[in-house]
Amino acid sequence: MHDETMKPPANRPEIPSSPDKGRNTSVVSQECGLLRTEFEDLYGRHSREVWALAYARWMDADSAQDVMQETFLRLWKQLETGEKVLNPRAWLLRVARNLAEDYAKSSFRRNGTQPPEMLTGVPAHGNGPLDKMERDESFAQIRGVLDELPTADREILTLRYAFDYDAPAIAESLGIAVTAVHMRLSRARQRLAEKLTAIGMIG
Amino acid sequence: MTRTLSHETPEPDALDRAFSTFFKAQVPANWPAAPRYPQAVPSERQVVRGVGESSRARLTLAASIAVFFGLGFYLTSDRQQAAPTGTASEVNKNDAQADGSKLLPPQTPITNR
Repeated sequence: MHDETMKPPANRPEIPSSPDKGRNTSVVSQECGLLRTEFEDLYGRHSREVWALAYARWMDADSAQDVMQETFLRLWKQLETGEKVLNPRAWLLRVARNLAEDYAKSSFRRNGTQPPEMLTGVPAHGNGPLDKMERDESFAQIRGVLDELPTADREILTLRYAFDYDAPAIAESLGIAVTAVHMRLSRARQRLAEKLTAIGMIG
Repeated sequence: MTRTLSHETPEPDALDRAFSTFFKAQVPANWPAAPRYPQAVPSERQVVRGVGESSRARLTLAASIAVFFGLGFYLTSDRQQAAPTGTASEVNKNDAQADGSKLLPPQTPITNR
């Protein structure tokens, strides 16, 4: 997988964004179209990783989505100015981490922490309210033990379990060695298993 | 390279299932589309501007203002040179108009009071 080079975008002119008339309009609209294609290609390839990192920071799906959107808006601005992003994945993940850090801190200062049930945001899939309650309770327990892990471990777990990434893919996404992924995953799982067994959730 | 789990990974245990259920439930059901700016923002790369209609209009406006101020300056300076006292200047003006001769600045002595 090559992230430094971008796929050649298809020529797809769009509605011109500039009010200028004359010959420049078609050139401008083509450029905007190419840029948009590039941008959407990068979004398709990296948005899930960006979301995962944002989610791992504060374990909140809504703020993760906000951070993801803001990260890609910044990428759009970057591309629009004509500045080349050599490694889009690394750039996006770095920006996402910084935004997640700033976003959640300011949000917590304003609103305080929410109880775990409020943050679950899980649609009801069970047969009734009892199933939903059980599900919410088990999710709250999992969230509680996950909160005790370092953010870096949560990033690995999110990529692994939310998007079924294998160890090499996780290593490539996070820019770490595959052995490090295996080691941290194994250690995190062991700690989590002990805690969840202690509270009677598994085992 | 495949991102998803390969067939070489062991069978998921209860912990894996629990985490998989949890994390997958956090992922948005409908993945959001790529963000767009609400208005079209003109790119800074875009612009080679020739003399278009807007430039011409601006030039015309600037020229008009310059003519207006220039004329105003000329008239006010001309008035100041015309005469310090009202009566003499009126008489001289009338003479000039009557015989068509050129209006000369009045030669009045400077008095200090």
